[in-house]
Amino acid sequence: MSEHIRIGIGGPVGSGKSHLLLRLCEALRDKMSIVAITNDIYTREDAQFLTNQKALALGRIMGVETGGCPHAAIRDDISLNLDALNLMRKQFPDATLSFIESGGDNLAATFSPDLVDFQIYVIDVAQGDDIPRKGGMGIGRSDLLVLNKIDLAPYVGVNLAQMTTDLQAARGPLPFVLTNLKKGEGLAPIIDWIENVAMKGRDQKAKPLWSQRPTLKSAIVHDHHHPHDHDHDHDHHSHDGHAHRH
Amino acid sequence: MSILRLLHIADSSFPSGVFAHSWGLEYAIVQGWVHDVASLEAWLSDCVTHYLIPLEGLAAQKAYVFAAAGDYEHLVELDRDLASYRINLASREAAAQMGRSFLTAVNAIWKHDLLLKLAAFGETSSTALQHAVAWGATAAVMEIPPQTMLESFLIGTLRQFCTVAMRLIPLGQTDANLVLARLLERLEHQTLVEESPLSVDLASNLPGMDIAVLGHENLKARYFRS
Repeated sequence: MSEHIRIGIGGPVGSGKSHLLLRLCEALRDKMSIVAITNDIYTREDAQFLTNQKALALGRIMGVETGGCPHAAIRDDISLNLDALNLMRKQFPDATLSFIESGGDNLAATFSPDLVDFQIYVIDVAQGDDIPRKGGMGIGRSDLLVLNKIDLAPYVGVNLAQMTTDLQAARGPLPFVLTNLKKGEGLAPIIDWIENVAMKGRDQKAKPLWSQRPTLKSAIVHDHHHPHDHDHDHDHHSHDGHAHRH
Repeated sequence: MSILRLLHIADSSFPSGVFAHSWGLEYAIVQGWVHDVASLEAWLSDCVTHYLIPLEGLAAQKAYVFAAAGDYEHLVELDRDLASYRINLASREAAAQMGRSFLTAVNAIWKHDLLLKLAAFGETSSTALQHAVAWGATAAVMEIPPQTMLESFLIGTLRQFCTVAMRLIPLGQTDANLVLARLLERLEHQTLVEESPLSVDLASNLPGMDIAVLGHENLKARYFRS
C-alpha cells in the first residue's frame, strides 16, 4: 500500500459538506487516487448523492451508517469508519487521498487523530453570524475552516465582515476560506491547501493558538522559578494565574 | 488485575462499534412490537433466554475454553459455526465488524500471540471473527473467570439494547435501568455457565428476532445499523 493522507470533512447538517466533497473529487480525481467514505445517521443518502453525481469511479465511494451517534463514530469509537477505511484501502491500495465525511453534527464534533490526518470543518452563514463566537473544536481547531453560502448573507441578515473578523479571532493562525460552493467560488484556495499543505504530510499542520500556549507544567515552572523576569504583559487575574498575553 | 482489565474492556467507551447496532430492535420498534417498558422487557427477556444465552453466551464460553487451551483451529471453526446461525449477511458482517474492532483495540494495548493470530483471521473475510468469539478468547487470555466473562458480556449487550430503546421510544433513563436491573435479577437465578460448554450445541430459537433482523436491512431510514 502506498502512503496516503486522510482528510475528515465535518460540520453541521446542511452546511455543504457533501457539496464540498463533490467539488473536491471533481477537481482532484484526475491528479490522484481518491476514495471517499460518507457517514450518515439514518441512510446512505450522501454516498448516493456522490455516486449519482459521479464524483468518483464506482466502488470508490462507501456509505457508513453511524447508528445515531455521528460524533461518536468519528471521535470516541471510530471502529465503523476504520473498518470501512481498511476495506477501501484493500480494494484501492494505490489510494493517496481518503476523504471521510462526517454525518452532520453539532459544534462539539471533531475527528479522532486515529482516523484522519487533517480535518476541514464546514459552516454556513445561514446558521447565524454568531457561530464563530460560539466556538467548538471545529471552529477553533480544524486545520481548515470553510464558511459556505456567503451569497446568502444579505438574505439572512448576516454581516459577513463581522463574521470574518470573528473567525480571525477564533482561528488565529489557522486558515479559513469563504465560499459559495454552488458556483465554485472559493474552491481554488481549498484545493491549493489540499495539494500544497495536506498532501505534504502531517508535519505541515498549522499550529493552533491553544497549542502555542505554555503547558501547565511549563507555566508553573516558568512562574515559580523565573518570576516576572520577562518584558511582556502578564495576566495576574486569569483563573489559574499563569496565562500570558504576548 | 483481571477484574481491572475486565472493567477496562467491558466499558462502553472501549472501541468496538457496539453502539451502532440494534440487532433488529429498531425494526421491532418501527413495527410497534416494542413500544413501552413492558413490551421492551418482554422482548429482551425472550432475547436473553432464546438467543443471548444459548447462542452468543455459549459461543463466548466455548471460545474461552479453546483460547485457554491455545486451540486456534477450533476457535476458527467455532467462529464459522456461530456466523452460520445468523439469519443474513448484514448481521454476520455486523457481528464480525464488532469482533474485529474489539480485538484490534485489545491487540493495540496488550500483545498476545493467539489474539494477534485471531485478529489476522478476522482480516480474511467480512464475516470472520464474531464478537462473542473475540470476547471469550480475550477473557481467557486475560484470565477473567468464566462466570464474570459471561455476565459482563450479557450486561454489555443488554445495556446496548436499552440504549437503543431510549433513543427510539419514549423511555427515560430511570425506566431503562429498571428494565435492565430486572433482567439481571432474573439472570442471577439462572445457571449461566455450562459445566462442559464444548458438549453443548449452539442454538437460537427466536424467530421474531430473526424476522426483525431481516426486516431491518430493508428499512428506508435507520437510526442503527442492521
